[in-house]
Amino acid sequence: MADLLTHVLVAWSLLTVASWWLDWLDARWIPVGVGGVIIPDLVKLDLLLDADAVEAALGIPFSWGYLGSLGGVVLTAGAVTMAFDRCWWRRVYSLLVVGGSSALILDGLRAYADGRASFWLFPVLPSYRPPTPSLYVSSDPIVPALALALALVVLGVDRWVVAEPTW
Amino acid sequence: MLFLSAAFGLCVAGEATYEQRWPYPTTEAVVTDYDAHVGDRTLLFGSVEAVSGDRATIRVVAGGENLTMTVSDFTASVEAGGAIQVTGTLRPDHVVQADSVVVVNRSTDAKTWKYGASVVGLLVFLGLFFRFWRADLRNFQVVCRDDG
Repeated sequence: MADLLTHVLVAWSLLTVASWWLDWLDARWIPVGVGGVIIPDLVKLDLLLDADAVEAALGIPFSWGYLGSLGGVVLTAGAVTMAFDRCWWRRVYSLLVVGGSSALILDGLRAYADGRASFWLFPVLPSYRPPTPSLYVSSDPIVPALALALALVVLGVDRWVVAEPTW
Repeated sequence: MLFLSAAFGLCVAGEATYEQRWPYPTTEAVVTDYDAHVGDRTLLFGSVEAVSGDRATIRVVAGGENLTMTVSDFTASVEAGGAIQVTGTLRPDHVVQADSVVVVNRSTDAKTWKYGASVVGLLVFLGLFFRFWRADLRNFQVVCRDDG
């Protein structure tokens, strides 16, 4: 997957652009959506608690990798939503799913040697690996550089074009 | 709790059905019973141990076991310590004849850079988030700072 910095910058840019049309999507809600991009990255829990160790301890098949799928985003977003006040649940959940989905789509564009991405639509399309244009590899520094350029452009437009000029 | 249980169930169900869905022999199957899969097409993820001419030596790990393999027809630019994906055909003597190779990490430094960028990303998110929200540890809730 792309590095987390890229995911954060891309989600922030998308949500900021969306906020130009959605009045309720103000500055406090954008970081909630950005937080959704962390959900697919939870596959890195494997570095802390190896899936093989979980399998050995419980005696059942297990892989953290499915947190990086559509099902993983939908379910984990639900768990995170519970930490917010009930009156905000619908909004928080929607934003987390949007953020998580943006990360899944971006990851779906990265290179695979056979031209097919991971099972990231699991369990909706459990056996389908969508074709990938193989645009990048996760360690390519040009990717966060482009994401940063995008975020700076959006920040500039947001501050000096969309916001009421103060001069 | 319901959502976490369901997410755990997803991780179990996904892994339990992985072998039926994956179009190639699984990495674990290749590592543990290589000879049974000679002639099969495969997609493997491995760490590069050495590159010499058009051959690379990679180490493939699965299920707590590892297998050292040779990739033939190797044309990618990568250093020892890097990571690759390779599709190709399994040949005798632990050789995979490559059709396509993707360099995931060109070197150990590339992996370090990737994790470093992810840490920066996490810090950027935390900075953004806690500017507007705070943790109410007494009630196990996240609350908006504007609400006092």
